[in-house]
This record gives sequence, C-alpha cells and structure tokens, in this order.
Amino acid sequence: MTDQAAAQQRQQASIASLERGGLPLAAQERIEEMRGGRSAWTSDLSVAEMAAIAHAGFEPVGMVMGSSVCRIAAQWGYTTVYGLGGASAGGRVRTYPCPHGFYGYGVGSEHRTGYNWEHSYYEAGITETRNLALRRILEEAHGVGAHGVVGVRIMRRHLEGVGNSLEFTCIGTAVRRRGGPQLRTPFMSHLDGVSFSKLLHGGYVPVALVMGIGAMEIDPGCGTEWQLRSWSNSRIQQISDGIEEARMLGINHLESEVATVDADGAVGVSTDLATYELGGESTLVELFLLGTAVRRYAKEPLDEPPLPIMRLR
Amino acid sequence: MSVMPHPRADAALACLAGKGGERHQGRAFSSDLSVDEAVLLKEIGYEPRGLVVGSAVYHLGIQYSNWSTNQEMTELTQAMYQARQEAVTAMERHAEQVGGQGVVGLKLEVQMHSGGHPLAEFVAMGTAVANPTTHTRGIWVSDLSGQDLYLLIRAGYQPVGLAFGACVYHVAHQAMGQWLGQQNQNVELGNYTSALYEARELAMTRMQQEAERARADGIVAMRIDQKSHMWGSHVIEFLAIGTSVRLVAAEHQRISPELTVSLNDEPEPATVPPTASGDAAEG
Repeated sequence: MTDQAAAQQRQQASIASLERGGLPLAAQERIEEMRGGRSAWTSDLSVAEMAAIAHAGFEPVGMVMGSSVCRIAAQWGYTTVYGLGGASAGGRVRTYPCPHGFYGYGVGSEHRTGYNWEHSYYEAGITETRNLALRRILEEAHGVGAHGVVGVRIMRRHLEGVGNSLEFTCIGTAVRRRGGPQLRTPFMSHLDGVSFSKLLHGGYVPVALVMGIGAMEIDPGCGTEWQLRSWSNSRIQQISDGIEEARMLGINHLESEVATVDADGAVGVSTDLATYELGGESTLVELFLLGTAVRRYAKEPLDEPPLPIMRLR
Repeated sequence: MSVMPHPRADAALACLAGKGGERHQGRAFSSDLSVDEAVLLKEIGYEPRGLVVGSAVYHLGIQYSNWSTNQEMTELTQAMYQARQEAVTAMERHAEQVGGQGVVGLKLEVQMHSGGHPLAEFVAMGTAVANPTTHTRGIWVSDLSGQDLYLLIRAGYQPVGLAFGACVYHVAHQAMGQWLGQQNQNVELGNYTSALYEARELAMTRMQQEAERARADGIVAMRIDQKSHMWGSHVIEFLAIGTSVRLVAAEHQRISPELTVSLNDEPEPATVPPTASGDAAEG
C-alpha cells in the first residue's frame, strides 16, 4: 500500500470515528501514550501557575484539546415585505408598527413595520458546535485520568463569514489530584492556574465552561428610519431595545447553563459584543459570554484573611 | 510518591463528585468579577447576584455653533448626559430584578457608529452584589473594582452611587490673519486654554452637585475623560465621573498595612503612570 493510500485510509478512519462520537486517530494515540505514563507530560502552564496548582494539591497530566467545525443553518427573517418568514424558529420577536398610520404598505413603499427578532437557529448552531468541542476535550481529559482542565483557551472563528461555518476549538492543561475520586465529568475552567488555586482557597471549585449567546436581528421600520434621518438628538427605541435584548438573552442563556451543570454561579465572564451588517438596513447584534461555572463547597472564604500590604518598591 | 494532605482540595473534589459541600443559596448568578474580586467581596459579606446591563442608543444630530466663539453645545451635553443616565437606570432596574443591593465594577462606555448615521450606543454593565444579612433600599452603583470596594468598606465607608457630569464644548477657530501672524512665534493659544478650563470646570461642578444631591461626603476615584467622539477636533466632550461615598462608621477605620519591600530585580510599579487619556483635540 502506498503512503498516500495509507494516509487516506487513516483519514477515513478518523472521520468514521468522529461520526461514531469518538475522537480522531491522532488524538486517540496521544491519549493512549499519555495514559501509559511513559511519555513526559505536557502543559502550557507558566512556572507561577505550576507552583499555584501544586499549592492547591493538584498536578499537571498533559495538554488536552477538543475541536469541531460545523455549518450553521441559514435562517430567513422578517426582512421580506412579502410576509413573515422566521417566526417558526420560536425566538423572541418585537414589532414596531408604522407610526404614520399607513397600513396598506407593500413592495417599494417606504412605510413598513420594523422587527427585532432572535436568530435562534444561529444561537443553537453555535451552542451545538461548542457542545461537540467540549465533549471531545472532556473525553480526552477523562481518558488521561484527569480531574479537570485549567487555563482553557477558546478559539471561535467564522470560517466563511458570519452565518456560515464555524470553528470552535478549546485547549487546556489537564490536572489531577493523586488518589482523588474519579469524576464522571472532569471540571473545566478558563481561569489560569493561579486563579484556580485562589478560587479553591476561596471556597469555590470550578465545574464547567459555560457560554451564553444572544443574537438579535434589527430590521428598522419606517419610524426608526425617519428618526435616523432627522437632525435632532433623540433616543432610538428600536435599536436600544434590540441591543438590550441581545445582552439579556446572552446573560439568561449563560445563567441557565450554570443551572444545568448544577453550579452556583459563573465568574470571570467575558463579554464580547459584535455587530454584523446583513445587507439593507438590517444588523445582527451578537453578544457572546464565556465564563467558568463554580460551585461553593465551603462557606468560610479563606484559610487566612488577606494581609493588607503597602509596597515600598 | 506520597500525596500531600490537602483538606481543601479533597473537599472540593468530594463536592464535585456530588458528596456534600456548603452550597450557595438562591439563584444561579453570572459575574464578570475576577477571582480576586469575588473572594474579597465575600470577605466583606457581599455575594454576586448577576451580571447586569442597560443600554441606550442615541441619534446625535448636529448642533450648529459659531465658528469663532467658545461655547457649550448645550443640546449635545444634554443628550450625552441623558443617554448615560438612561443606560444606568436600565441597568439599575435589571439589578433590582436579580435582588442586588449594589453594582460593582461598572463599565460605562460609549460606542460611536458613524457609518451612515451618527449613532451612539451607551452601555452600562457591572455585577450586581448583595449582602444577605442586611436590608437596604435602592441600588448603589460604583465603578470601583472589588479590591477597591473591599478597602473602602474596611475603612468604614459606604458607596452612595455614581456621580458624573458632562459638558460638550466648542473651541473657537482662530481667524486666518491671527494664525498667519503667529506662524513664527511660540504663543499661548488663549482661546484653547480658556475653553478647556471652562469645559472641565462645568463637567466637574455638575458631578459635584450630583454627589451633594445624594448627600455624599465625597467622591473617590474620580477621572476626567476628554473625547471628541465623532465631532472633529474642535468639539470636545468632558466627562467627569467617580463614585460618591459616605462615612458610615463613627470614624475612619485604620487599616495599618504591612510594609513590604520587594527583593525582585524590577518590582512592578505600585501605581500606573498617568497617560494622556482620550483623543484630546489637536491643532
């Protein structure tokens, strides 16, 4: 068999494994090698993080990764003057009727209703891609006998523009406590090793990476457009509502994920607001939140109260 | 290799395995607090209640000003102030809904979208916190970090709320003859200097009045942002903003910090050197 044929066969075996819900061959072999304990462990921890993790009673096992590329389904919207398109998706919708009292609007008329509506397919697509990537990194962590993964970095990329294919990759260092009980699902945290140690000493333990996404499309109605063309300083209600709604959706989705993993809250949440022009006057506003869900295991905060210091250089 | 005993790590893993742990009461929260902030706030009795936001999108029209006079653009000032106020009020409503008593780490930002329409989005965002052992009325808002609040409350103070004042000012252009006449001299541009003084004073006075109305003792961590946003270099907004505080203990509580000297080669600077903030007007 030629090298090329062997490589092709190997790739097909990897794809088949992914379809069965497993890991690609390269990842399987890496896990096998790490589990054997013959290889040196890998980590992207700094020396300070390494010391902090040891101080918290853990040790590094090796770097683990999970990745997935998905196509995000298209969602037709309310933009069309021929009728309501995207209502079937069941997201949030708010309408802004024509304030000028023209009801018989149609093609070419400048009077039309404005819509703010949630791209729920898009949100679900990103969540699904994320789920696949997380499942894979957790499988790797479980495979190497780790208790958790710290310092998880997330890479999220739209490969062909927004609304098409999306890559979601997470990489982190798996850690374990020697002699600790085997966990069904290892914990995950995007916080670095030093923060992990502080969190643990503060009475909280990380549970999982949680995400919240809110995507709202804003299709301005004629009332909004007239306001935009005016010379006055005024609040634009429809756009204010749309952005606030996207933020609220993101926060609500994040908090419901926190509840799903049976955690008490999320810390270190980063918020990332992006707007995409969708053609015409329509805009997609997307809020992406990412944090570490934590569970409180001890009521008293620190082993010792913090010592106030004044640095004299 | 023997394993170091570590009761905290063992208790944490036992909690993850579903065995015990002193769990949090109440709804699941989100917060943009760092770990240090979350742990320090817990020390002074505050627990996070959730990430809260408010936003207001404003269309900022044009106010005509006289090319050669220094003057406040009162309509723009009014719009910039009111938009921030609305964003903060919306955020406070959100904080009330999640059972917060205050908001820490407020970020009050303006994003200008100048493409097509002169749109400005004002966003207020922070983490709502509450002390479950006390009952208070109203919501205090502060742009202080968790570390700063820890220090403030330990010293016997309580944040009262956000205090801010805005002023949008038009700086006069020089007459052509005057400009030509000064080309080979170093001179003070009096109109610039006095305009910047005037605008800064107005913004600070308004901030101070706000703190007085809230019956605060003073304002901490105040800063002045100076930005031209989308208006070109001759129209400048001054924003004075800080957290107003009140002494609630009988007197200022001494903290008596331990003095330390770092033996590292290059210690981190204790304070961040001041940098020119904003896109202050040029030329």
